[in-house]
Amino acid sequence: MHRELDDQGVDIVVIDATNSRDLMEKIVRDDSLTLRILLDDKQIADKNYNLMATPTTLIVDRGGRIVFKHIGFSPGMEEMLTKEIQELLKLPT
Amino acid sequence: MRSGLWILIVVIIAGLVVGTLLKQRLEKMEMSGEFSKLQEITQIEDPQVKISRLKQFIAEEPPGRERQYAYRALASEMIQTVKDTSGFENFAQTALDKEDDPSSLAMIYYWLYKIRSDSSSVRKLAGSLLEGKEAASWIYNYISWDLAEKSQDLDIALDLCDRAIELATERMDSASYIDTKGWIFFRQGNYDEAVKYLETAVSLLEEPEEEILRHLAYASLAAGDGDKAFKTFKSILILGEYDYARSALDSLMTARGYTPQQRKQFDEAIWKERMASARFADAFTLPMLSGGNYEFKPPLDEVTVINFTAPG
Repeated sequence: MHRELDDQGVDIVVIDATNSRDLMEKIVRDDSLTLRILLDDKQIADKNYNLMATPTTLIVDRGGRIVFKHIGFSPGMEEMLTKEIQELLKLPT
Repeated sequence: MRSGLWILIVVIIAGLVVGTLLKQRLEKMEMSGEFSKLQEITQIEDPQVKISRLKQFIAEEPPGRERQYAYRALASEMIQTVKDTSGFENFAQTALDKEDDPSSLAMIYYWLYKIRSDSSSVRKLAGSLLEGKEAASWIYNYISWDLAEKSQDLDIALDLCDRAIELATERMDSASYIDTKGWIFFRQGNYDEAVKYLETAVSLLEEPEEEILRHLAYASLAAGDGDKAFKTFKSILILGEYDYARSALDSLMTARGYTPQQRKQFDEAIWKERMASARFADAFTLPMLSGGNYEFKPPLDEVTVINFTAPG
């Protein structure tokens, strides 16, 4: 899904809220991931984003508003995210 | 570190998606001597050597998150790697007698529960959990929730859930556990009670949360309160374009004779409310795994998806 979104001008970042560099490097290597992965060494998940659980997915519009937040993973989530993003991409920049 | 964080991490490391959403604030994981030692043990390749070292670690190290993690690693190794379920059960039974740390006890119960499926052994385990030494609140809720999802042993699920509620110290934990209680009532077909508890859970939330709202919406529908169901599904749609909420609202709008124009106005109102309630994302700069820093500073050139994860 992230490659399709990349092509449409959507930036995707994965933040490891536990700041576990070794573990993350292993996952990236084992699964050949190409996503941009950030390490939360400043506890922004807690301090700035009040994270309740992982995974938590946010969609931020160009204006910086968090227009979508979902905690956990549900069936059909990819389709829903895509739909949400398509709506945002229709809006003027 | 608050125990809630460790629970979250361990549960995720165990590869689970926990149905209930506990308030889990992530705090800095300080590297202690015990943590480094444990990390070293978990990298041992020979499972038998690893098991032996983990048992030694548990016997020697003081209570704390490392010991809890050691129980998890041991259970995973014994049950999943070497398939020695009975060996783990024997070890766990002895550990339950010796162990006093509530978080470690919860972890032992978690794995014992995972390897039990029939009603009789689940009830026995739940009885031991309810009558034995106090464990961390999340385990009572976890088993209670799982039983509710399976519609199995709902009477014991209710007892476990009540204990979780009693032990909850944080508002969000209470919301999550009361949600479980409401959902048990839903599973029992007691819809009025379900609505009562689910409304309480919603009232405790600092911000709307889809799963609890979903429970309330379905319970309201089942209780025959179409207005409350409509309002709750609408709240869900403000959070995001959830198909089930859209579909339920479509049916409710059809039943209410909504015209195409009214539906359009409804959608516009949803979008407007969503924009009005959306908060602005904070700027941050974080190191990238691949090197260098990533700066997130709205306004943005692109729509951005941020996914917070905890690997395991």
